[in-house]
Amino acid sequence: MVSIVCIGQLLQAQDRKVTVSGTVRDSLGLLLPGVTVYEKNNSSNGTSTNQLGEYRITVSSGQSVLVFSYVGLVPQEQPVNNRTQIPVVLKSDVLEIENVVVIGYGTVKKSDLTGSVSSVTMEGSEMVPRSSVEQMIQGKAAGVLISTTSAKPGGAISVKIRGNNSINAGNEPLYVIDGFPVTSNEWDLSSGMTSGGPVNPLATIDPNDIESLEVLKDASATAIYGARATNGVILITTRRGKTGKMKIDANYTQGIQKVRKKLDMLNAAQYATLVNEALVNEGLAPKYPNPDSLGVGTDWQDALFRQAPTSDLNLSFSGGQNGATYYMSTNYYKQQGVILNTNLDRISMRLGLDMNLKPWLAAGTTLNLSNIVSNNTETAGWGVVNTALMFNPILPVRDEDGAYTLMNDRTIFTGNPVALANEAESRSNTSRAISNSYLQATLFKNLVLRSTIGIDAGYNKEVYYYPSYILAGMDAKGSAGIGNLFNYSLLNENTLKYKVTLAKKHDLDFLAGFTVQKARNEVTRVAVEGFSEDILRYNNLGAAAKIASFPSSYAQEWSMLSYLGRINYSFANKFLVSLNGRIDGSSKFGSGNKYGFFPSVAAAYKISQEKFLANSKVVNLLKIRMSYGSTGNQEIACYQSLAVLGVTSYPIGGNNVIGYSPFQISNPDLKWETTNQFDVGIDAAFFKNRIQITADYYFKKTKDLLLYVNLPISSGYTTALQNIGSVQNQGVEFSLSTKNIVGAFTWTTDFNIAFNRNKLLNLANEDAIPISSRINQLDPGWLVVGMPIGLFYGLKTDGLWQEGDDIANSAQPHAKPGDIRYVDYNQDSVINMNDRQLIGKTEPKFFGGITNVFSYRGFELVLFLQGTYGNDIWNGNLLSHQYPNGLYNQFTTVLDRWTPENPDAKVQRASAFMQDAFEMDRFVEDGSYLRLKTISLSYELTNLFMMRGVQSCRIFFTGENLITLTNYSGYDPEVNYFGKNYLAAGYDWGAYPSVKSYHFGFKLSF
Amino acid sequence: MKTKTKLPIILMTVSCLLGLNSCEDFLKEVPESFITPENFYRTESDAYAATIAAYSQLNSYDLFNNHLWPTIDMISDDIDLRPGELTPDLVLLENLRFGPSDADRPTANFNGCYYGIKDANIVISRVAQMSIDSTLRTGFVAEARFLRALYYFYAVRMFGDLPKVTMETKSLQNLKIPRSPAREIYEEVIIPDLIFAGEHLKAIAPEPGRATQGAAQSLLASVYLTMAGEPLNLGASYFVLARDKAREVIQSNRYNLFQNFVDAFDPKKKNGIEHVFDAQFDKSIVGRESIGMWLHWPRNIGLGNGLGLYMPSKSLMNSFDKTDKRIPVTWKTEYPRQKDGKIIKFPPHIWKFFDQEAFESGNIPKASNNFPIIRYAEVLLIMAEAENEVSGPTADGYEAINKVRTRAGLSALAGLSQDDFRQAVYLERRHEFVAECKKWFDLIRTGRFIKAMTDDGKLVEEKHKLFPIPQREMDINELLIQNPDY
Repeated sequence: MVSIVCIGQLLQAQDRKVTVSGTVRDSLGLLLPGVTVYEKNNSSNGTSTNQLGEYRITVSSGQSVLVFSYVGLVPQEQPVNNRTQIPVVLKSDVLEIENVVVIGYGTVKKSDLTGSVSSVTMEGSEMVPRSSVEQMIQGKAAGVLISTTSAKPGGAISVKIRGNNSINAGNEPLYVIDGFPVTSNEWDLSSGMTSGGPVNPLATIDPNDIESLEVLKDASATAIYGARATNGVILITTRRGKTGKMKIDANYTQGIQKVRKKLDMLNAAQYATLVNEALVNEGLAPKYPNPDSLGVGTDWQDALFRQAPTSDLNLSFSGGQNGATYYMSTNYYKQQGVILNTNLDRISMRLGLDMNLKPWLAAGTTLNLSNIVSNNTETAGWGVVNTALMFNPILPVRDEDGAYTLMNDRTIFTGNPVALANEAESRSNTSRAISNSYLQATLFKNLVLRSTIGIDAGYNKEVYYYPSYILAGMDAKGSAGIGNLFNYSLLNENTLKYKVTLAKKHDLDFLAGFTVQKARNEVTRVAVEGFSEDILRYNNLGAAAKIASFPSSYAQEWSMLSYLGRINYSFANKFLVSLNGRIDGSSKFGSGNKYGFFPSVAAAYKISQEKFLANSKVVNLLKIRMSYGSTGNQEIACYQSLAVLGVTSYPIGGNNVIGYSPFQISNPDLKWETTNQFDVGIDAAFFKNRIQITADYYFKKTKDLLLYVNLPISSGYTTALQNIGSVQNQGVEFSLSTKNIVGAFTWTTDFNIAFNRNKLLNLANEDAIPISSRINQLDPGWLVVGMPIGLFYGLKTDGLWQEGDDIANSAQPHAKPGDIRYVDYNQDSVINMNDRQLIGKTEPKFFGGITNVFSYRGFELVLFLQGTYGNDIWNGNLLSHQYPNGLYNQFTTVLDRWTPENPDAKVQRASAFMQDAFEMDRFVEDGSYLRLKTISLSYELTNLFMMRGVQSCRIFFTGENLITLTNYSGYDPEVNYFGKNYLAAGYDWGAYPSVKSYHFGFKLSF
Repeated sequence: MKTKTKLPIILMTVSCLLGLNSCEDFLKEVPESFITPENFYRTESDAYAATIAAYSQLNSYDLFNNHLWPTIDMISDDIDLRPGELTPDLVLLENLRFGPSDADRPTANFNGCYYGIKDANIVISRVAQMSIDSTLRTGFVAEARFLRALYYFYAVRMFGDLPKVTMETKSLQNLKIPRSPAREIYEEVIIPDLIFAGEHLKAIAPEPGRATQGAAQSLLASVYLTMAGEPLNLGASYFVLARDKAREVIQSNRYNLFQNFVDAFDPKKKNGIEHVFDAQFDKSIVGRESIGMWLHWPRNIGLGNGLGLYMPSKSLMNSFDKTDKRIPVTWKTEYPRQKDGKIIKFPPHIWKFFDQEAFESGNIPKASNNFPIIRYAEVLLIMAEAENEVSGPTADGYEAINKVRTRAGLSALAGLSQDDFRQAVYLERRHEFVAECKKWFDLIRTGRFIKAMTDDGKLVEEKHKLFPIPQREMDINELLIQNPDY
């Protein structure tokens, strides 16, 4: 009787339906809409959480089990147990979803990589507004040394992967966006008419559109790009739509930039005192009767620099249905420069469409349209920064009537830098369209044919105008110029891929392809002068009185034809082998050498797949890999192998008679530079990926270096391009990612460091050659066999001569006490160029970066430091501004100059007849630095503050370059007067000052 | 997937892959903005254009439009660097404190000569092979040989032994050659070139500014005169050759002196009867203007902006006879302002390269004055000097020197000893050729260099009788030996 009742009660209890409700959150406490909730063993009874993460479901009984599942999180089962309210927290998959890494012409699972590839995360990238993508990689990928060569908005950024390979061919990596190699050489998108250098062409691409970025470093990863891969490849994948409801993302950042560090110059009284001293020391009359009365005078840097705002707005829509996905974004980026009248503005739009036309046929396209406008000014030479530093501080920027002081009164060529910055115009406007479309057909099971056609077209117009009322335009009575450039590159790639698994253990992946590329570039330039009305500027060149330089035009074309192939083999997911090969033919090379073959082979062994490690709790992944292969470098100008005649002329009878004269000797043997690279590496992960380590050792040898060999002038030529010599790089890279603390409070660290040693092995017939790196009257740069590329040679100095020294019998018999004492290296009692020694190296001993991310309850703090150590910089400013001859204004270091009362001074004595214009060690400084590059605090707002429809909202504050530790005395240790030129790197003369900045912004997702 | 749709796709793919058979042409470079030797050197106009290229170096800053003034005139005792000028390399030159790596101007001269030599060599080797009208062909080659001799003549006097290059540079092999002795340069290049040119150039140039027979002969006379003096010291026989060559030119009656000295420098009277060979300039052609006026005209005086770098020295000015008509042409101490005619005074500045039109338009840096490389006055003075060295003062010698003196408003000379006559010729050259890039050469070849420098207050050494071979050349070519003590 009792049992029947009990059973009945049990049955009753079992039969009673229960309605359960609750909210689902993730481990950070964020509400999760769209979570699937269903009854176990009765999956037709299911629902999903709403916008507020809430669910409500009626289950068949109180003993049912509910299953909660969501992409990327660990599914959870909750026995109902008669509860009516069940809040759920879903945790992240402890073992991260197997990352897929983009490699050349395909993707591969991260654990299957046989080559050396660094992935750079784009997470949090919207918190730091950047004008171009390279800035996002700095300090984040081991072995990739990134340096801002010019801090102007849109300034060139040099990217060096595993050291210098080349001397005269390009040293920049290949940039591939969604499989399409794009133009990154600034001279391909600049007609060369503006001052201060061309705008970085990668600034036409909005970094906000980037989903992921991979850096391919070793031969195995890069050989598939053959002749353009020697310097590494940067693969950029842009965001694409996903099936589902339309997602809208908006992010906006606003910030302010300030000059990070000013240089200390003498004020008016100090300057006048120096001028007088320099004259009196040589027996001349002093110039200023009462220097102290002149007071402080003008701070020309303050007059020239300003605080500059910057903002970035990006709006994107993405979604998809019925087999088509789309992604559309627009961007408006606006950055003022800290020098008056300089800026960079960008408007861009991107559209990505992917469609499944039929089950076996897919097609898609991306279209990127952008326009950048940049106003700039020359800073070096007689440009604004140099003239501000040299300008007499006694002179005011403007006189009492408000008119600009015209020019310096201590030299003749330097005009008022504020007038030059404000009144001269130098503007570059670039429009670019990059479009890449594909058609992909799955012919048989696992046989995929893909054909793409892409075009990268750009139009650049550059204009300048120097009005007649500033010194730069005065003699010419106004000078104007216009340059137009049109550039396009057309690429067609056809690939066939086939995947097959044999006997369940052998996975094979085949790739074969054929590509054709053609590029063309046309430029026209005109410069005129002599305007009666400044108001017309460059918009009516016909109004000018005369031609400043003959109208010129130029056209060039190059083409490439390539065959590529790859076989990837994997045995039981334990042993991996990869074979790559590419044959490239390029029009740029001599008739005897048009084609090159670039093969590579790699193997990897996943020790962690062996039985003894397969179930280890400690070791998740342990893989060693090795690769060897060859890549080429074809980045030189066109027509270098041909003998070429150029135009000259001579005035005869009032006519400009044209003459033709060869300026280049032919070299039919001109060919590729080839780099053979060996790499061995380890990828490891421990403790459920809490610790991930990658380490590589590599050895590269580049031969047939393309070098402009200096010729004796008696040949009638100064240089000729030849394949000579070889260079070697070897190094070690190490990167470490750790999740130090997990839970409500998390702390992760990403650290990378690299050591690269470069060595020039031979230069054909020479031991050492000077490079053309004339900077502020001196040529310190040399290439020396057995040493790394990037050397400074000059005289070593040994303090200053003092009273009582035996000057008359020294190697400098005409010196006076207080003059610089040079080391007579070869002991021949003469100080001349034969006493040159090595005085500096620009190769860093090591470089790297470390990122720490702390998060707690929606707050996140990011600290990113990066730096280099052991590299030297040539400070070309010192020859002008630590040179007390009373001509230019000087650094305040000259206050400690030699006088009989101050014999322990650092700086030499003031002398109007100073003649120390030698390359010397006093101009070389240590360029090591450690920088707090980014500090950023963000907060993810919870639903308390959110409006309807807003999925997430994050606000953030970021500081950039707030702290820099360095001994370098110039504006910034990241500098290069010669832009991206690797042969001459680490030179400073009149640089655009670097900035620190503060930003505020928010990111919304709907 | 149905076979019907698959097959066309496969076929299309294959045919695409096969279709690109013309791969060879696809990779061939066809420059659109350059000419290559393969499609040049064919016609008469090609030969002409190649010859013009050899002339174009005369126009460049490296030689007669800038950098010869500081090396040949400023260093001498006739011209001083503007007081207070601080441009480092000019100060070093003026004070004889330069060395191979900071002697920018002599280096520019060196480079300029070799660029000119390169273009001349191309004409001499290529044009000589062209199948065009033989008279024209010989004429072009003769012009090129004259120019080559001219460039070598300047270089060998300034630097001494030189790498001897007489063929077009076609390959990258064997470009590092040692210096050949100066004498060899004279005897194997300069003299044969000028003799050939003298035989094949026309008496009248086909166009103003191009080389003539008279130019070749005059230059050769100057060459012989130089060889007779230091450093080759070939003595009497070369004085004879110099005299005879000068006489040839005089007796051709092709040339004469302008009545007024000022006309020899007037841009409106270019290529006139006194001009044997000049470097051509034209301010209406961009890049072909002369900056001679700009370099010499005073600065900061409210009279147009010159640079005033090279000024006449006190010793030069004091050495003139006060009645010498060349004084107001050679230098000025005052000039009327353009806007109101007010006379502005200034320290003495060279006026020879003054272009009135440029002055009036306010655009001083662009003038049209030609640079007088050889004037008939020099031929006369060569005649006088050489004749004197050979036979002492003779009627011919007096006639020659007195023509020059009379034009200058000075009294004729008579009854002098050989040495007095010699000094008189030196003095006449000094007064005639101020700022015409001759003084340094004159001082060296007559053995007066050390004394003149010492008298000018400079710390001169033997080594300064030659300029240093540029450091860049020394670094590149280990076969070169530097001039002594540099």
